Amino acid sequence: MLIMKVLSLGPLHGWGIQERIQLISKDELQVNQGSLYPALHKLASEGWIKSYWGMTENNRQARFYRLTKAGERQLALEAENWARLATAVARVMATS
Amino acid sequence: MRLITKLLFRLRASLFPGRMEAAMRKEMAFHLEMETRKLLAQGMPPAEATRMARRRFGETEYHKEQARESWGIGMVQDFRRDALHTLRALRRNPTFAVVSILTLGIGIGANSAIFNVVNGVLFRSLPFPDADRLVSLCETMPGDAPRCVTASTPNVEDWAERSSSFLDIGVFRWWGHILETPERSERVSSLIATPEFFRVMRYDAAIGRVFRPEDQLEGNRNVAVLDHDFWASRFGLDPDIVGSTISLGGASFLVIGVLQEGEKPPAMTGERGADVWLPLHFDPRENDQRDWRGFYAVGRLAPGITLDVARQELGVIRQGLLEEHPEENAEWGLQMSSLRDRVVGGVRATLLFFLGAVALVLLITCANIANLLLARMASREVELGIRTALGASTPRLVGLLLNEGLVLALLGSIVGLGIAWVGTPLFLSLAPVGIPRLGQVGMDVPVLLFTLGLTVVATLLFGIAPLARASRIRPMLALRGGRHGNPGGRLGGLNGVLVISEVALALALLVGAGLLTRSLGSFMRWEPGIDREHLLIVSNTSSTGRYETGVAVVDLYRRLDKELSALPGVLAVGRSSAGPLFGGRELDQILPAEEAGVGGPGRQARWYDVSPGYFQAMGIPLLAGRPFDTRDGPETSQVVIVNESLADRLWPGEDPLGRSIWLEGHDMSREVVGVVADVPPLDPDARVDLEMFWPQAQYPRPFTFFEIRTDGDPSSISGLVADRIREVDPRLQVGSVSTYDELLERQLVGPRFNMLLITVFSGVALLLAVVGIFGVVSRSVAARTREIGIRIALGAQRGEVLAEVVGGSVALSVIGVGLGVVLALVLSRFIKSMLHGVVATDPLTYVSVSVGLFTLAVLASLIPAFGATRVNPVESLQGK
Repeated sequence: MLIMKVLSLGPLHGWGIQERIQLISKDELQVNQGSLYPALHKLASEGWIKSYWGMTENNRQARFYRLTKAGERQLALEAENWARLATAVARVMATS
Repeated sequence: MRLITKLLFRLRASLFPGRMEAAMRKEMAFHLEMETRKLLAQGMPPAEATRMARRRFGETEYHKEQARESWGIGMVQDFRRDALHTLRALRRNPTFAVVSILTLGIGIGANSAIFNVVNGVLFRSLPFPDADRLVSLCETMPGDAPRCVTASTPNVEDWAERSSSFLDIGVFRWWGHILETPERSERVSSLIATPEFFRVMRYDAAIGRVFRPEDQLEGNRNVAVLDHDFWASRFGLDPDIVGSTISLGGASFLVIGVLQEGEKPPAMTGERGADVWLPLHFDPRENDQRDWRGFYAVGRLAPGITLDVARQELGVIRQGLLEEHPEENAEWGLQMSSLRDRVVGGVRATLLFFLGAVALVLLITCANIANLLLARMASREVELGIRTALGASTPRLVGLLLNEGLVLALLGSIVGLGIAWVGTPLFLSLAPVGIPRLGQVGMDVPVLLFTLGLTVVATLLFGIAPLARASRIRPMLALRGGRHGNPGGRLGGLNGVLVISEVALALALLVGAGLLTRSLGSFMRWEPGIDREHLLIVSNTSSTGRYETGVAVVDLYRRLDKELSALPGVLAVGRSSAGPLFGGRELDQILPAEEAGVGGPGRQARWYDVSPGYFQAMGIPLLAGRPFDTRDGPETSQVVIVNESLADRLWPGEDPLGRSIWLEGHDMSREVVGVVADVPPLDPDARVDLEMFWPQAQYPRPFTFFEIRTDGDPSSISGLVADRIREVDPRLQVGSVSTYDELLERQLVGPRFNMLLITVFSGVALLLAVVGIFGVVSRSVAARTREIGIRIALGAQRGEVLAEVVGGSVALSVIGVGLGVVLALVLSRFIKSMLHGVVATDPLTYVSVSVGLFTLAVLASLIPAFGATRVNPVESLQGK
């Protein structure tokens, strides 16, 4: 979900996505950087993001990813579910 | 849209995994580089930056593996890998590979070949336009046996007119004519048909026209339509044929059209096409044809109407006709079936029976191969243990084992398809002529799908055995050298099931073979009471227009009698319209004359017109009264000779001589002047026909059979007979010349073919079962070598050991035979229609087959068991 959210702001290559997540989450989320790639490939196999080869600012060739229409819809769906889950958890935690 | 993207992704991943790998490596390398650069920018020394970047990235190989899994092509890759592994294993074990692929190939191939025939004959639509809408209608007679005697034209016309279920109903029948040209005369087959028949079949003329209703009326009837191939071969595609005349049976016919290529009449009882089509003589104004029922009727259902709906509607219409014409229609029923059923229905049971039998053979084959695979499992326990230790999950192992079965099945089915492709024409060439539509059998999609289905089934069957083992893999045991374990030792479990099933299936097939053999035997023991070895049967047509009157025909035949009697070695010459095993069945309903009008429908009897010499030539003894002689002629009283059964049935216990018989269809009575002995039918289960004979002189027709009795080999004079007939008149047509033995042979072709086929199947099944048992016991002995050695060393007698080893498989065989008997009994109903002279539960067959199979099974276990007793205890303890 996080990957898709990041990509919703614009296409990025793998390293760029990881940097952005680190930036936004203020370094709270620090997983093995490499595990990004299985996730990216999974999202691509589902058709929610698409990959293409492009040029970076330094004229290096890199693989970029962008969100598809289906991906946008999926992102909205997952975001909603997450919000609901968070609310429910918060409510439970508030009572005990 | 997303679905397409997903599929494309999968496709790309399976077709170009190399490219996906390369891309992934590149982007991971890029990531590492970027991260390293970032750290460098932050001031870290290069070596440390690289290390740090790598550490943050994590285990590359692991991530790659995870990513690969997400590609969703894991299964395909695994399959490819397993398949290559299997192929290598098979190459290392060529005997096993060749034996199993070959047996499987034969099993699948035989099944596909027979299914090919079944599909072409039974399942495929008839080769007519919209053939599934065609319906055969025939009127049936109650009484001794319901026969589809066909329909009367006026009835059919009324049905068609009053019914809305049928678009048209056509009427037709076969006939024969002699076509005369200046060069020669030849016999052609002709089809008599109504104009509606062309509409029903959707046949139209290529040139000229087809029949119209006017052509059926007096004065217009001498028109003909030619078959396309006949026109091509006989008239050389002459475009001016329409408008010319041809001479048929001495009369001149105007050719009004030629049919299109491939337009043939349906083969109702195995006939082939017709050369000439002639109009049926039918005048709706005349009313005397309603009870002349010598025709086939085929109708085309209106769109949306089902057979049942049509049947109901016709029931009502026929009720109305019954009231309008009570005499002609009383007692008649109607049988309607799809045309395809009518054409192939007779062989359906037989063909399906063969399909079932060959399927049983395939099952045994699969059981054998599963057995072999199971045996190999023992040696693979180490390998599987290692795989498990290295992290293979149970589903993966299952996949590996199923893969082996699948590869075998695929290779087997490729061989099988090859065999089917070659085997089908072979089967067709050996098949008896009675099977309809054989010319239309050819490999097509349903057959391929069927073969594919068989492959899948075979795979699953093979998979069962190894799967059972796979769940019990114990890695530690395997790694320690599993040979010291005891896999497949006892003859229990899966091994036992396989042996039992093989024995049972083989027994069922053998019982089938035994029954059919006995059935054929009962045909061959036919005692017709006639002089079989010395008879020559010759058919003759004289419809050349020269012998117009009855008197002329009779004169001609008497002359031929004299000429033929003068031939060397001829003892007697007779003539008849038909006889046992030759000629048509002509039937009528009869009553004792005194009961005519009050006695109900009477009985069905077969009638023949014969010459005075017939009974003597055939060797049928006269039991009472007198034979026919030259006194009996068209002017004298109508007489008849009957057979014993008829006399018994009509006047039980009384003297039939002098009594009269009333014949319903001929509307006359005839006086009984003689009684002859019965000729029992070829089928031992059938009842003797009631038969009556009257003098040819009183019922002349331009066609007859000659029965010539010789004192030596009848075939020696067959050439002379034809010559002599032509000497009398070169335009006389000699039809068929055969000895009586040849006629009988022709009748036996079908049953003999059935018997041979089943015997081959059961022979193969027996071989497989025996080999299977042999193999199982051998392996069991081999696996227990150590144990046996210990027991012998501890003092066990060799005899005891032998008994114990054999005992297991004997028990299995007993169970197998028992199950096989049950299976055979259950399946026996499918064979009933093919059996004559023996019941499907014939005890002699069952017992002898069971004993024989059991003995063989015990022998098959004894041989390897002897090997067990010769085990050297010292060697076996040393772990040889």
